[in-house]
Amino acid sequence: MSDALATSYRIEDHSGDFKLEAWGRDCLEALASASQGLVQQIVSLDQIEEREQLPVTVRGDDQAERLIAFLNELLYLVYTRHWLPRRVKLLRQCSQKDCTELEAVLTGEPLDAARHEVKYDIKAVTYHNFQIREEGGITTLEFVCDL
Amino acid sequence: MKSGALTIEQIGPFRYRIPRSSRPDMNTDGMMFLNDALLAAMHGDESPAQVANVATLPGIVGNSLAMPDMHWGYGFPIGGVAAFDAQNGVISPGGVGYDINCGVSLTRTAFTLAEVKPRLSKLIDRMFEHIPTGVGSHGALKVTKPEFEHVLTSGARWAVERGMASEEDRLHMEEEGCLDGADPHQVSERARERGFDQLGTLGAGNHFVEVQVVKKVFDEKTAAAFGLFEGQICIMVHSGSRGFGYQICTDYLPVMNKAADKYGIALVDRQLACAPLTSEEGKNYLAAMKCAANFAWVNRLTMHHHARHVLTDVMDTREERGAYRLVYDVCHNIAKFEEHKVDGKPRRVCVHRKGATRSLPPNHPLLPPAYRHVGQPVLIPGDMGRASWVMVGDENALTESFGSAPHGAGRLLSRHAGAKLMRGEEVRQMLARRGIIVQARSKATLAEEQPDVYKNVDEVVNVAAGVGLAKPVARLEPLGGIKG
Repeated sequence: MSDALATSYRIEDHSGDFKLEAWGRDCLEALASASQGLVQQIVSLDQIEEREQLPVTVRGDDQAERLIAFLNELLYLVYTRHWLPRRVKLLRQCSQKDCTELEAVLTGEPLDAARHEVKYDIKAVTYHNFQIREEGGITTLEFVCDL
Repeated sequence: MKSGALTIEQIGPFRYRIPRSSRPDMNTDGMMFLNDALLAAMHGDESPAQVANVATLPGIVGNSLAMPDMHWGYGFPIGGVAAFDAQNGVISPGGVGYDINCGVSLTRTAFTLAEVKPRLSKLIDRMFEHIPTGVGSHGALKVTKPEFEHVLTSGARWAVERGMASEEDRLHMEEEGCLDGADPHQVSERARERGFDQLGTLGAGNHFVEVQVVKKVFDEKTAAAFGLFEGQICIMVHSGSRGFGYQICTDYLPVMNKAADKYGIALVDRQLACAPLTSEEGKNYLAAMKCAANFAWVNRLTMHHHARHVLTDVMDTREERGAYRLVYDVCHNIAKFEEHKVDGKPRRVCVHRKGATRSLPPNHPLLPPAYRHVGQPVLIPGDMGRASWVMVGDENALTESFGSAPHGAGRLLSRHAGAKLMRGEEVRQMLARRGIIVQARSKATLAEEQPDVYKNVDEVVNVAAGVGLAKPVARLEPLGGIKG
């Protein structure tokens, strides 16, 4: 189980888009960090209150597919359902061999144009140069977002 | 010259080759159309490697190409063009991009600079009020769900039926504003949900509606055929398929990754995921992609329609349809079946243009009657401070680039680097001092889209003309615009 709020990511330049690198003690913690980094690019996390919980399940045949599906799910929630996640609690270990699902509970609130400034229209999290690295007990995720 | 592990050879003016011997997995050469300045402006980014990556895909015909505005993308480079054999080749959503049928339209008016200049500020303000811009913009066009399905299959024909464009406008669009074979059954509910209320909205990022003046005509005969003259006011729209297209690409990438595995296609970048054109997966993606292409054409036509109403209202004149006409509408993120001569023989190929514009020479059968004798308008937007160009398709494009030309100036600096150059309000004031009025939903957008983050579009046009991809017709300068 992973539950991150600490800033464990950084943004790097990538042409017209941006690259996000996030890390944690395991894959799920890194994904939680990546989720927060992603949402922070759209709406400042400080503006989001933890009012509601929302369970989320995504599927993917391999780890990269599940992780990207999860990050894209966040974009769907923000831009289509107009719901802002602040905290990400990942429930299912994504490195299990027989696992095709990734489950999480998100805590956040509906988008309120009066309080939330939406900064970017991120089209998607891409597969380009998507990387999962493990080194010295730290797992790092790296991915490029299309703006 | 070496770029990473790649060899890059200059083989003639504006032509840089990445020989297939550079990497064992390349099926063909890469070919980049550049000059020294544009090559240097790439700052050693990874776009040449992306040209080489595209060259590994099965069934590629001719070279893996990059237009003069090329820069680092994801999967394909931005400015990438690749043709795949209709029988043995593949279709790749990454070769189209998330913003399916992102493109540009240009509308000419009967007004001159002298007439519009005194009312320019009001004109830009009113456009900003009437055309929804910015992240998540919605609500420009109310349609029922059955009408929405009709948009997806009929494209511009639907807009003409609704009275938002004339039949002549429709004929002056690439593919006459509709790709046949669009199948809404291949589109997810989630894509519908994301795009349903976004018809007629500009969006954010580099998209814009701009009021421009024809500053200089370089080819009188062709300009006359396009209805352009010096001092004339035109309106350029740059937008695409909004969240609808983004979601279709997102939905199909996992499908294509599985398909690549199923059909034994080795991928050097999973963003290049693809399927044989003859496979069920490939056909389904194409049918869905066509829905997004048709959505995008209606999207741009809706903004064209709103801009026309605002203009006639601000200019306090009766609507003059005869004078307010679409010069042309081009898509620059698309994959389409086309017939091209390869080694002297006609061959049906699927041309992917990711940040590239179709460019057809005179007498091509796909041209509308009014342009048959001159060629296809090639619309190349620049940045909001310098210029945009109207070019015309050149014969040489058919032999060099499967009838393709650049799609813009090409990015020089990242968004974050741009934001460090000048703040949004400073950009607005700097442009205002030059007589250019800009309204933007987000100040950050102005900073990230300021003129200096783009290459000089004149350089791009020079290279395109030097290679013979297209010929200059007119240079247009911005007077003002709206952004997200």
